[in-house]
Amino acid sequence: MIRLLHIADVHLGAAYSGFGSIADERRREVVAAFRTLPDAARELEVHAVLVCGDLFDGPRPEERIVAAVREVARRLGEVGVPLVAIPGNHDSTALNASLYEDALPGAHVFSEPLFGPPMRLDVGSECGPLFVYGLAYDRSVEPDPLPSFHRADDEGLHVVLLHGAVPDAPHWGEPSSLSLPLEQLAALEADYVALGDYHRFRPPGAFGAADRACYAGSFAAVDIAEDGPRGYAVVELEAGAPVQVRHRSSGVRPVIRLGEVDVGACPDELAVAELLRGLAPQESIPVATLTGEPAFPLDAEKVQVDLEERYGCVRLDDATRFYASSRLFEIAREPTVAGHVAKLGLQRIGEADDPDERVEEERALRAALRSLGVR
Amino acid sequence: MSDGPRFESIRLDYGCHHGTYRFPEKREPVTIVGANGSGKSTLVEALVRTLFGFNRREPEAREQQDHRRPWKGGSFRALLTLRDAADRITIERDFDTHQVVVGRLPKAEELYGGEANPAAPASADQRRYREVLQRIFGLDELADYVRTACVQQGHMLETALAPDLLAIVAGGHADVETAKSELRERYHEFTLESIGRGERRRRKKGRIEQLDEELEELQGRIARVRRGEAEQRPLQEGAAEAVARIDELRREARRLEADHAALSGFQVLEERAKGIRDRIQRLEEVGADLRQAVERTEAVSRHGAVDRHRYPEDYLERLAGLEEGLWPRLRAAQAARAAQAERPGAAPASPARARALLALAGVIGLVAALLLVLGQGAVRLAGIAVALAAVALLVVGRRGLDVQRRRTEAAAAAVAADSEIQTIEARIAAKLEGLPDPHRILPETLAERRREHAEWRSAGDRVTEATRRLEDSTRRADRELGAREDEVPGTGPIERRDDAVSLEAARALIDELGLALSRERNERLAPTILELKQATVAIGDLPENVPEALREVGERLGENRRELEAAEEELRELQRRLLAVRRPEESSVALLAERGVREVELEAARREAGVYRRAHALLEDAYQEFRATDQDRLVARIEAHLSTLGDGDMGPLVIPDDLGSACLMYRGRPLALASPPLSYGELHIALFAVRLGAADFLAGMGVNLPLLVDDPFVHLDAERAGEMWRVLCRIARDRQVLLTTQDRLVLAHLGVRPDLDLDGPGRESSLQMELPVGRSAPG
Repeated sequence: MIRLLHIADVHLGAAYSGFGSIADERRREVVAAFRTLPDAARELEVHAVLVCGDLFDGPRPEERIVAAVREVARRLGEVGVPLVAIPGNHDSTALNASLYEDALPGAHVFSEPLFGPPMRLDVGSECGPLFVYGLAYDRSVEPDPLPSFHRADDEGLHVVLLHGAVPDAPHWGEPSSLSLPLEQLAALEADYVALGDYHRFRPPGAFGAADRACYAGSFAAVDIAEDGPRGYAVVELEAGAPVQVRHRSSGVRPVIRLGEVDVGACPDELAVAELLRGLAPQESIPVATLTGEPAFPLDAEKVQVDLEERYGCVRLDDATRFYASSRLFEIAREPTVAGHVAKLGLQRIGEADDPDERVEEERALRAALRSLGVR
Repeated sequence: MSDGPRFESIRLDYGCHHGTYRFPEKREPVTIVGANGSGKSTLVEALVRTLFGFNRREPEAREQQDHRRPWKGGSFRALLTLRDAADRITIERDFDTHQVVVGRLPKAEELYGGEANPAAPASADQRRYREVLQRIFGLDELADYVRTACVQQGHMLETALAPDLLAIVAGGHADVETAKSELRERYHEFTLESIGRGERRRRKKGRIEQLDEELEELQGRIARVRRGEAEQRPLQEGAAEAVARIDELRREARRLEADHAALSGFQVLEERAKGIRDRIQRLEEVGADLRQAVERTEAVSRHGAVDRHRYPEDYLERLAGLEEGLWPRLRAAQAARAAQAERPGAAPASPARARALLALAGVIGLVAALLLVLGQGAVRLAGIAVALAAVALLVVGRRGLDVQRRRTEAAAAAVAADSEIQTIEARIAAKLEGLPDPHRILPETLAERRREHAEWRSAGDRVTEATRRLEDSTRRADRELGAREDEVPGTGPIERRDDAVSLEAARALIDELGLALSRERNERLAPTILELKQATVAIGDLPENVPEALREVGERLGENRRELEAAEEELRELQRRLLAVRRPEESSVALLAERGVREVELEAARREAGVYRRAHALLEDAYQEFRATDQDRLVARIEAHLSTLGDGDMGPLVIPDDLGSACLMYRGRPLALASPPLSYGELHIALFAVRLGAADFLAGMGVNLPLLVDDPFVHLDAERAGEMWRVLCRIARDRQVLLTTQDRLVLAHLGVRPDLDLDGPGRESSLQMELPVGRSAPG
C-alpha cells in the first residue's frame, strides 16, 4: 500500500478580505498550519506529498511566504518524504516560471504544459515504485493537454496531478481553468487522479465513472463562503483495490454554516448572541441566517460584534421580520417620535416596490427605532 | 430611551446649606421635608443655580446671589453630581468667579473647564458650556427649566401657555438629535457623501470610497494584466482557431480513414475472393492437366515397356562412323595388303657385296685420280680407263644398294598394312562395343539396324513425352498446391518433388488437389463472400466503382493530411510567438477574485449606507410629522393633568388661535387661562397642570428633565393632594421627581416617609460626609 498526502489550493498570501478584521490573522494562521505539514506527513507515514496547484494565491507572493514554503520543503526532505507539485491557475508558471522551483527546492515540479514522462519515486512499498504525472496548464500553449497523457508500461502505481475544473465545478469553462470532462478523467489510465482548483473536498465516489479522481479541497477557507471542513486528503493506494481517501482538517478555523436560526424568542441581542454561541463551536467561524419575528428591532451588527469577541469573524444574514411583529404595531400607536417612526416606516415598507427596497426600508426602520433607544 | 439625568447629590456652600445632600435612586418622588425657612426652596434653587448660574444683569438674580452667600462664610460654591444612564457627571461651580468644571466620573475626565457666566452669553466659554449643558442635561436655558419642569412656588403665577413653549425643543429633540447623529455616524462609516439636506460632504472617506479606490486600483492592475493578455489575445485566438481547425481536420481524417478502411477492406475482400477464385481455377486446371498426363502416361505404359538404355545415345553416330570411316578404310587396307602380297619378289641383293663394289670403285677412282694427276698421257689414259672402271664399279654398287632398299621398303609396307588393318578392326570393335547385337551390325545390314533404332527411338520419345508431361503437370500441381493464392501461378518458390515423379505420386497429388479445391471453396471462398456481403451492408451506399471511390478517398485523405500538417505548423509557430510575448506579472484570476470580493463588499457597504440613509430620512420625516403635532400633544398632556387634578371640572383647553389665546373650559365655561377667575386652590391646580403638561411634553421630546416640585400640596385639600401625589408617582416612574414640602401631615396621610428632612435629626442623617469642594470626585 502506498499512502499519499494530497494537498491543493492552499492560496498562501491570499487577501482573505472576506474575513474582515481577522484577515491578517487568518493569513498568519494559514501559513502556520501549512508549516505543520512535515509533522503531519511524518505522523501519517505518507510516502509522498502531492501539491495540486494554487499553493500561492498569486504568482509573486511575499518573500516571507516563499521562505515558509521553502522551510516546509526542506523539512519534508529531512524526513524523507518526496514532494511533487504542479502549479495552478493563480500561480501559473505562465506568470512566474520559477516560483515553484524557487519555493520548493528538492521537490519535483511539473512545469511543462503537456504530460511528459512520469516522475518515478521508489517509495519502498510492496506495490512497487510510484509514478507521478503532471503538467502546468497553459492554455495559450495547449488548450487541451489531456490527450498527451500516456501511462508508462512500468509496474507500480501511477498517479496523475491536475489542476482544473470538472463540469459542475465553479471554474468550469473559464479560460484560465483547465476543463476536465469526466469521461476524459475516467479514460486516464491512472491509479489515482489528484485534483486541485475546486475548493470543496470531493472524494472519488462523487465522480461517477472517474472513480479514481479526488479533489482535496482548499487547505483552509479562502473566503467566508467556503464553509465545511478544509484541509487535505490522505490517500491509500493498492494495486487492484479501490482508492481509500479520508479528509483531514488543516487545523485552520473552519467556517461553520449554522443555517437558519430562529431568534424570534430572543428578548435582545445578547440572547441572540448567546443562542448562536451555543450552536457554533469555539474554534470556528460561524455563518448563520437569523430568522423569526423578534419583538425588538434586532441589530444584527451588534450581535456580530458580540460574537466576534469570541470567534474573531462571524457572518450573519439578517432575515428577521420585526416589521411583522405585534410589538412594532404597539410602538406605532404611541404618540411619540418612535411611534411616528414606526408608523411611517411601516407605510414605507408597504409602499416599497421591489423586495430589495423593502428589505432596506425594513432595516432602516429598525435602525431608526434602535437609534431612538427602542428596545 | 433614556430616563434623563438624575440629581445624585449636591455638596453646597450656599446660603444656609453647608454639606452634601444625597438624593436616593428610586422610582417614586424623592421627598424633602422641612419647616418653613428650613431651606427647601433654597436647596431646589441651589440645584438649578449650580446648573445655570446667576445672571447678575438681572436684578432679581443679582439680589438672590447676594442673599445666597454662605452663612458660615467661605467660598460660595456647589458640587452637583448628575447620573444619567451611562455617565456620572460632576458640575462644580464657583458662584463668585463663575468658574465651572464639568467632569465625567469615575476618571474625572474633564468635559468642560472655564467660566460659565450667563451674564456673558456671547462669550466663547459660555457658549461652550451651554453646549455641554445641553448635552448632559437637555436644556441650556434656566428660563426654559423654570417654565416647565422646575415648579417653584415663587414662580407659579408666572406660568403661561405660550407658543414659545413649543420652541424650547425647537432646536432639537435631544433623543432624536442623538439618534440622527448616531445614524449619521453609522452612515458616514460607509461614505463621505451627505446624508441629506443641510449636511455637508465629509472629508473623511467612508468604506464605500475606500472600496471604490481599492477597486479602482484593482481595476488598474487588472487592466495592466489584461493589456498583457491583449497582446497575447490575437495569438491565442489564432492558436485557438488553429486548434479548432486541427480538430476539424482530425475529425475529417478519422472519417476519411474510416471510409477508406471500409472501402479498402471491401476491395481487399473482393481481391481476396478473386484470388481464391483464380486459385480454384488454377487448381482445377492443374488438376485436369495432371489427370490427362496420368492418363497419357498410363496409355503409353500399356503399349509395352521401352528399354530406355538399349541404344547408347551415339548409336547412330557410331553407325555413321563405321559406315563412313572405319569400314571403307578396312576394306582399303585389306585391298592394299592383298596387292602387296600378289607382287613378284626379286632376289634379294647382298648388301655386303654392293658395299664392296663401292669400296673398290673408290679405290680405283683413287688410283685413277693419282694417275691422272701424276701421269702423263697413258698413264693418264690408263688413269682415265681406271677412272671409267671405277665409275662402272660405282654404278653397279649403287644399283645393288637401291634394290636392297626397295626390298626393305616393301616388307615394311606389308607390316604397316597389317598393322593398320588391325588398328581399324580394333576401332570397329570399339565402335561396336556396347551396341545391341553387334554381330548384326554389318555394312549390308546397316539400313536395317538404323530402321530398328528409329523405331526404338520413336517409342522412347512417346514415353519420354508422357513422362515429361506428367512431371510438368505434377510440378505445376505441386507448385500450385504449395503456392499462396496471391502468387502468380508457376512462380512459386517451392518444388516439393524434383524427381521420382510417379503415377502414384501424381494420383496422390490429384487427391490433394481435390482436397485443396474443397478447402478453397468451402473454407475460404464461402466466408469471404459472406464477409463481402457484410462489408457491403456496412458501407451502406456502396459505390459502383469501389477502386475509383477508394482512390478519391485516398486523394482527399492525402489532401487532409497536408492541410493538417500545415495547420499544426501554424499552431507551433503561434505557440512559439506566444512564448516570446511578455507575461503579465500578476494572476488575473486572483485579481478578479479579489475584485469580486471587493465588489461584494462594496455592494454590502452601499446597502448598509442606504439603510442608514433611509433610516435617517425616516427619522427626519417622522420627526417632522411628530413636531407637527407638538401643540396637540402639549395640549393633550396639559388636559390630561387638568382632568386628573381638576376632578373633571377642568378641561379641555380651547385654542381659537395660538397657545397664547388658550381658554380653559371650567365646568363648561371657557375661562382665559392667563388669568382665570378661579379659587386659589383651583388656580394652583390649573397652573400646576400646565407645568406638568409642559414637563411631560419635554419628556416626550426626549428632554427628560428632573421634575423639581416645590411644595405642590399647598392650597390643596387632602383628596387633591393625594391625587397630586399619585400623578407625581406616575411621573417618577420615568424621570426623577424631587418634591419639597413642609406639610408632614400630608406626607403622613399619604404614608410617605421623607427622604430628606431638613428639620430635626433627619437633616443630620441626610448630611453626608463633608466633601472637599474642588475638582476631586465625590465619594
